[in-house]
Amino acid sequence: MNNTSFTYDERLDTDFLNSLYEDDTEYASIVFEQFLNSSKEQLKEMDTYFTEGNIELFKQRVHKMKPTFSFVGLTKLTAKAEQIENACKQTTEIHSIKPLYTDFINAFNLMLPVVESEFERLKS
Amino acid sequence: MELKVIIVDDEPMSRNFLEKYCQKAGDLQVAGMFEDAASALAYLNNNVIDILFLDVEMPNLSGFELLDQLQYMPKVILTTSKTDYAFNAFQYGVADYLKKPIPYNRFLEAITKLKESLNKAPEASSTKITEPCAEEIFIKSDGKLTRLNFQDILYIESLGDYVKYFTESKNYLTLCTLKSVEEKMCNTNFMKVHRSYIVNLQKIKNIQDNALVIDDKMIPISKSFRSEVMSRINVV
Repeated sequence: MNNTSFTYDERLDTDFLNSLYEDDTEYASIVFEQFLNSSKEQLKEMDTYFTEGNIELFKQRVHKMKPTFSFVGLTKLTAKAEQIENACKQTTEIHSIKPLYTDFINAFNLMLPVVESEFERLKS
Repeated sequence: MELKVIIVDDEPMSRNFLEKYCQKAGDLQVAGMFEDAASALAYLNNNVIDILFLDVEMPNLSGFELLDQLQYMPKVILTTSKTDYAFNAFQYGVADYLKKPIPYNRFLEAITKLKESLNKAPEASSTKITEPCAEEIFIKSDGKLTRLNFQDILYIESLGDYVKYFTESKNYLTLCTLKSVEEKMCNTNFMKVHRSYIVNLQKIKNIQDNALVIDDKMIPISKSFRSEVMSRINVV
């Protein structure tokens, strides 16, 4: 276990990360790595369901991924995922949630480099 | 006391977090982690655990559907990323409801509360010793309170922190100690014959050496109980 001197990037939810990992940056590094290894593939799958118009599988994928964003300090993405999930319950027409989905993907793409660089810092 | 737990969640990072938290909390032994409810159900049908960390929304079989099929009810802590299930959680009598992602302090709070309730259970039963003798008991099994008439019970077996009631038609596993059952069974037809068995004396088919037979099950009689057993049955 590493010690407490690590300060998370302020673009991430530092309060939440500190409450989650306390002083265990070694474990934080493992989780960040798991997230980076799995999230792109899962988002790709999510995008396939969206393109195919399969709202049920799309919703399931969003639901499953939802908490994992917070594990790397992206609590706002967890909230956006929840909005999409709720919107999926209100409609059978997947394209009506396209604005929410686009906003979510843009936010993810914006924050991914931050998570990647944070992982590098945690490792070192 | 070390508590045996299993974790059921289809999302691997969530499973790993809970495992890590269990290790960190101490005295929680993770006996298994399952990515689907069906595998967990198969495990639970053959193993007794203390705490079940259970996700709700999983493909094929949901967390609540798993609870519906359990033969006994361990302490359940629901872990879900939705708050929509709070009412269902209440109906199923779950011990706690943790919203994902779960901070460690919230996890620890749930475990502390649960341990307190487990420690209080024997006290609660002991307060009922002075109540009038009944002809039946209600046991918590399969997530509900079930009435068992004393005359229908063949014997009761201790399984660690659980006891199993055997009747001619069905068996019931419930979380409590044999000692607390013994205190409730003020009906004179019941007697403890071994540290792991209480038997209905009226159901004994035969006694041979240091064992008795009920419903083709051979039950050992401890040396310390043998003379009392013999004195309570009508030996010609």
